[in-house]
Amino acid sequence: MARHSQAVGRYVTIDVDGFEYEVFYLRNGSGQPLVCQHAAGCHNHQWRDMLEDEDITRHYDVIAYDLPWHGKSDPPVNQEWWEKEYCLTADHFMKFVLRLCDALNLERPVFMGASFGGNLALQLARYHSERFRAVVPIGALDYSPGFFQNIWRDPRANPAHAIPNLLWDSMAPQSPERDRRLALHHASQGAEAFHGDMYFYSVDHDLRGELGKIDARACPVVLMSGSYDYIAPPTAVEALARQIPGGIFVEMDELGHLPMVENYPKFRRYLLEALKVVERKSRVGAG
Amino acid sequence: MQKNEWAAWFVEATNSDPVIASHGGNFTCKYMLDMGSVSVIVEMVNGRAHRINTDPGPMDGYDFAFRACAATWRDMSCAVPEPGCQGVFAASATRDMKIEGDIPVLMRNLGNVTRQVELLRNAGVPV
Repeated sequence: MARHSQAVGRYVTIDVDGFEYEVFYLRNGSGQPLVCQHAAGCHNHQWRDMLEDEDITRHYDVIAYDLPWHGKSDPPVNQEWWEKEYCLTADHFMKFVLRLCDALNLERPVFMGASFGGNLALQLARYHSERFRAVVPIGALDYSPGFFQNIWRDPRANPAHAIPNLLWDSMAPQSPERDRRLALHHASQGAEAFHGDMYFYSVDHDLRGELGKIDARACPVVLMSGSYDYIAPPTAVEALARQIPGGIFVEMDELGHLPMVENYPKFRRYLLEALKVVERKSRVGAG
Repeated sequence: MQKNEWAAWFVEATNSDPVIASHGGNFTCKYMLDMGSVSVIVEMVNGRAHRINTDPGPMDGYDFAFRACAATWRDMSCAVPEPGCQGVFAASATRDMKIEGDIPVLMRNLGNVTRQVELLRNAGVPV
């Protein structure tokens, strides 16, 4: 018997700095908008379990988009993009999210992102806190150098194989193998974009010395890190949370860098707690 | 486990592994596992463990190497490794693991090499 997901996919066309993007997003739920950014080189299937979690969608209007160049969101339709190198900047990345939220008429959504999406969440909290009710960076750092490497385009390295498999170590060995394999499957589809994503991740994203300027009263920041995340380990992420006045840190036991994919049943326990914190802190902030 | 006994186990574990059998048709390279007091060179040919050199000499070549102390290898080969010991890249960030040699060769074989390192959780390491 056929079983349909409650999540529905649509396209919306937006303009960001003259780049016309036809953006694909999955959406389910009602209530407070919750906008989700996938990890580098991946796409919105990383949030599929959350999109179908009734304990989330009962209270949240979950929107998980594919960043242009990823998944079903193509490169800009009005550009000869094949003649230029894709290099994602922090400014363009933030503007993209703001334009998307405008296009979907989202009023002060909660923004959640993983890995480079987590880094973006910190950027949004620093520079556009008035636009968001809260941000939830997962596996995020203020500065993450070293990953903008030519090897991601080196044909001898077979990047479509190497990039996803590099993620394997960042996940917890306790997580179900099926889900960890799915995480690799998602990442194998975005290898061409990964190098340009890393320009943001390792070059243009640098919030060192800036976290103290985040207004966590106006926009609560709940940083999450898995105990097996060696890329953004709990000790480093907790130290970041301490730099943000009012910043909250949640350590996730037996999870890694991509918790929403690698073990959603375990991740959701921490996620529900994080969202409770968001509710409490944003009420306090509003009052 | 003595190194020759371990080498025989590693060959059997590799050659009977369904993941390597399904993905490793082009898995051909030589790499060193430097575990402190014991070093071996694993020679892979088309996804099969062709030979384990358990007594490598200075002129025995290889494409890339993983080097760490015995304690790191033992921690990585636990049934459920502690955080930071779940793989060579994690151990390179948190422990003394060094990854050296022809990195593109490692990268194009990374999934299968990673799988072989995980097989160590079944029988441990000879140090």
